[in-house]
Amino acid sequence: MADKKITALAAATSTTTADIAHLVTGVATNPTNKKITVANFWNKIPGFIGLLGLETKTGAGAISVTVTLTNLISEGVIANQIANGIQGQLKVIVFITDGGTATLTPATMNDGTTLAFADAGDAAMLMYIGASGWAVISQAGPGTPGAGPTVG
Amino acid sequence: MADKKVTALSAATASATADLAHIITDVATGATNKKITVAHFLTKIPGFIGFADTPQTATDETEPNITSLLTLLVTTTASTAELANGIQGQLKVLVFITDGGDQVLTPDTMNDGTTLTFADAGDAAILMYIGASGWAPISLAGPGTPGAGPTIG
Repeated sequence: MADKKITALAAATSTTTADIAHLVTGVATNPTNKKITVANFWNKIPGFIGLLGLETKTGAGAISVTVTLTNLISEGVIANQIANGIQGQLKVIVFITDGGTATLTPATMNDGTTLAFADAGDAAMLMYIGASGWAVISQAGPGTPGAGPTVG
Repeated sequence: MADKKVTALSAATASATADLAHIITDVATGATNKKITVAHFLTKIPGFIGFADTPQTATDETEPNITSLLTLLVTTTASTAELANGIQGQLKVLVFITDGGDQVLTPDTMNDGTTLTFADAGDAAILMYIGASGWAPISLAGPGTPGAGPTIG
C-alpha cells in the first residue's frame, strides 16, 4: 500500500474482537511497536475507566442517550423521558438535587415502565438489552441498604 | 524502523497505562496525528459506552457463559445453573427477563455467598470476578420497592 494519511483511509464505524490496533509498549524503557487485538485491549483494561461527558438536566424533559452520565435536578415534581438506546449501551443517572420526585419513563423498558427518583442521591444504572429496552441493572441511594429509585 | 504493516508487528496481549496509541485529533478542521497514553484514552472516554457482543439467552439449566458480557435469563420452570470462573476484573451482567420459576445460579467460586436466586422478572445483577475469591455481586436491582433484586444465599 502506498503511503497514505490515516485521515484518507476508509472509516470503520464499529470493531470486532479480532480487529487489531497499533500500540506502543515499554514506553519508558524500550518503546516497541506492537499490534493488539480489540479483544485483548478491552478484556485487560490496565487502569480505571472514566467518562468525559456529563449532562446536567434540570427539570422535566428528555435526558440524553448520547452521554453516559446524567446528573438530574428537580425543582418540583417532574417527568423525564429517555429514548431507546443501542444494544449493550450503558446509562447512569444520578439524582443530585431533590426539589420533588423525578419520574423517568424510558421509551422501552424491560419489566417496568418508570423509575421514580425520590431522594437526592438516588442513582441507577441502565443497560439497553435489545428489543426489551432499558433494563435496570443497578439501583443505589442514601440511607438504609436497598435505598434508591423505585421501579414501577 | 523500516516500513512494516501493523499485522506484521509482534503481538501484545495486554496493555499498560503508559503504553501509547495513535490518534488523529481535530478531524473536521485540522487533522493532526498525536500519541495518547492508554490511561488518557480510557479515563476520558468522550462518548457513551456500548457493548457490541450479542447477548446470550440462557434458558432453564443452560449455563450463562463467561465470554458474553450480558446474559438474559429465561425460565420455564424452577431451574439451577452454574457460572464458571472468570478472569480478574471481568464484569458479568445478568438480567432475568422471563420468570417461569426461580433461577438459582451457583458460581463455581463466589465471594461471600454461594448462590444468587432470581425470583422476579426484571431482577438483575452485575458481578465482578475479583480474583481468588471469585465472583462478587457488585450491584443487585429489581422491580418494585427499592432493595428488590436477586437474593444472595
